[in-house]
Amino acid sequence: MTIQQGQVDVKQEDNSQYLNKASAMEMETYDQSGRQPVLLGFLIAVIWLLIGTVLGDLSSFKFDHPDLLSGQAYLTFGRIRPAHLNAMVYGWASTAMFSVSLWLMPRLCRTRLRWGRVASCGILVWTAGLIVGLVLLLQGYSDGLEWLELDRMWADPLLVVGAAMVGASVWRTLAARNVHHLYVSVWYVAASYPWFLIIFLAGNLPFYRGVESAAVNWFYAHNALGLWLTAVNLALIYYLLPKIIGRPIYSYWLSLVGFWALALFYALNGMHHLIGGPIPSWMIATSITASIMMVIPVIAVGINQHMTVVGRFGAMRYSPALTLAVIAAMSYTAVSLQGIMTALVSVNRITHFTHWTIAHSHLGLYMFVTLSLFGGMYYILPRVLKREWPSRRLIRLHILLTGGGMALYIIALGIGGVLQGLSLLTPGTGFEASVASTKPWLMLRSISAVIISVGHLAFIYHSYLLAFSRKHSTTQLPPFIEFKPVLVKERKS
Amino acid sequence: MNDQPRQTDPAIPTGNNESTELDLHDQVIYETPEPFEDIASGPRWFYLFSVVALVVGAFYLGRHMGNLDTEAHIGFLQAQKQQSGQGGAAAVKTVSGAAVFTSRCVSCHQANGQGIPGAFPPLVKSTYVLGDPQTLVRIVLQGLQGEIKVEGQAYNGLMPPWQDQLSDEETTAVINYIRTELGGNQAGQVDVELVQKIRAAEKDRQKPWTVPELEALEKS
Repeated sequence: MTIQQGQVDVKQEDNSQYLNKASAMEMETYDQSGRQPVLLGFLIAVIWLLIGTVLGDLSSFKFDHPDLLSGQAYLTFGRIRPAHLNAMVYGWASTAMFSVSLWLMPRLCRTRLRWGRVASCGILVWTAGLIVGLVLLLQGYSDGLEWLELDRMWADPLLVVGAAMVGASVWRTLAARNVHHLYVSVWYVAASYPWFLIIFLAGNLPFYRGVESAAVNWFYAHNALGLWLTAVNLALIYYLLPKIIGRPIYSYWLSLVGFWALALFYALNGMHHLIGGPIPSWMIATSITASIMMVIPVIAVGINQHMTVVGRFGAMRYSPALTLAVIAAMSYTAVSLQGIMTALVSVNRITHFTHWTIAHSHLGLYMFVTLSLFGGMYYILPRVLKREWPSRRLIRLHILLTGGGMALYIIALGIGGVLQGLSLLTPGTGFEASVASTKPWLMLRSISAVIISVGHLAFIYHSYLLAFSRKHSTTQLPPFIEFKPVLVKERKS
Repeated sequence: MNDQPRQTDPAIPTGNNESTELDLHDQVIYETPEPFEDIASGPRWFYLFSVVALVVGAFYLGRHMGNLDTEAHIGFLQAQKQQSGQGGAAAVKTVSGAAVFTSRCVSCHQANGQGIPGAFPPLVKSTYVLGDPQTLVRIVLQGLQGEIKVEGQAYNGLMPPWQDQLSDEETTAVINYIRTELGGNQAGQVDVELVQKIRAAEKDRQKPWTVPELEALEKS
């Protein structure tokens, strides 16, 4: 359908109090300028999502049947499980986040994407590095540090170069901006690239020994979540909520507090993973204090996003992107408050070395990061491809299965983790008792893993239909009505 | 926080109040205005809350940070240390014999105290455990080596001395646990004074005990 400029102007008079008038034509130009890297990133991300899901399912089933597929060395738990983590964090989440950043920046800077080819090459280099790292990992070559397993000689340099190339495109676009005021999403996206490169390089330097190595390991692993995954996904949520609802962000000052307090306190948090370890007490105490202080940015962002949406939660019925963004925003608040609680010594005594940690990290990496990215894809892909998602049912199925499955996962594993921790602390009972206490909950976890996997298959099939199937290419209507849904009356029939 | 629309919400255009086919086909509605931020400062309680959080954080850091050295201890460990320094009587109650047993003894004598036949002798029903308390205190403090016959089976191994690892209170607690609780054992309690006495008397001993030595001491 063609858009006529005259029509656009007439329609926009209703919104004259908005500072940022955007014509559909203008936005389409920005979207199309980044078409190549954005689509490339999402394609690769979805493939990694499939691979990571299979690896995660296998790791989970091995808890129920320890001898499952243990014949080959590369299929053992010690290799499959880190491969799942790396495929999900660096393959699915990070690659999808490249696309999200490359789509957000032109729109927010009101200019076309600069150095788009560099960004595409960057995504390919990153993917090549990850493939090399994962193959080596399954072969048994690992750096031996959690979140940093990828080989530091062969894989990590490629990841650094790839992320730097995407970051260069993001910053070049920022430098060419046509706006005076930078919207909050721009702060997060632009900052996350130098942050990621700094922490990733620092984490991989080869000269740490013993306790230093553990400390640097958790400095990196915690900041990879806080300064990379969280930053880009908060940017996406900050964009989607007001955009879909058609209402400004509640408070500029809260955005400011949220951003700078996150930058200040998150970087100090890592050592709370080593409570009780042989780390100098001042390092532990500083990181617990910083973890408690995280309540400031978390509450700031929580208020800001809640007050933006409040009164219009009903709009979620009409927009899958909004539904997922709202769930993700709530999960961010939840996972951060849970993290603060877990960092306290008295709680950590019970939960350390238990499945509670796994439940916690999935609340962060799935309910927050992954659902936010799903929401982003539901919003971004139709605009870049200029085609609508073909099936309302598949979208509902996907959201119900992944959201519900992960809720079951987190609750089951959280309970199992606490029971395991209490059992570990009971003197006189053997270690086997703590293992036995987790069994039913691990079984529930495997069930939820299957549910989530079915959801992923539905999503991947739906993405395939959207992108490659000719049959549905004529669909122009959004399957959910995304324009000011509060205005929409209930259907009478 | 209520469901009332805020003042800044755009006025609802009349006549546009239904999702008509025409509206849906209009591509303009597809692209809502770009987001921006209100210059509202947010609720005052949040800024108060932030100040309170900073104060709480500062107190926590001051209380638990310790010195800027390499010593590794935090909160609850420090608290326990102070408690055990306050006097023996209070400490005996806080030291759990079961916990000491789990951390020190289980790897050889097993959680049920049955040992491993041929390698590590059982503690349950053992005459060395249930008999003269002095013998058990000596074995725990200074160790044992050479042949020993328990429950009709002969063992020839080495039990390490624990006098450098366990305090008087911990030794007393673990001995009482072994004698009175483990696997249905029922023998008399041991006082911390007995442990202190034997530790002082044998402080120059370098070698673990042997069974003949212990039997000689029991008879005397």
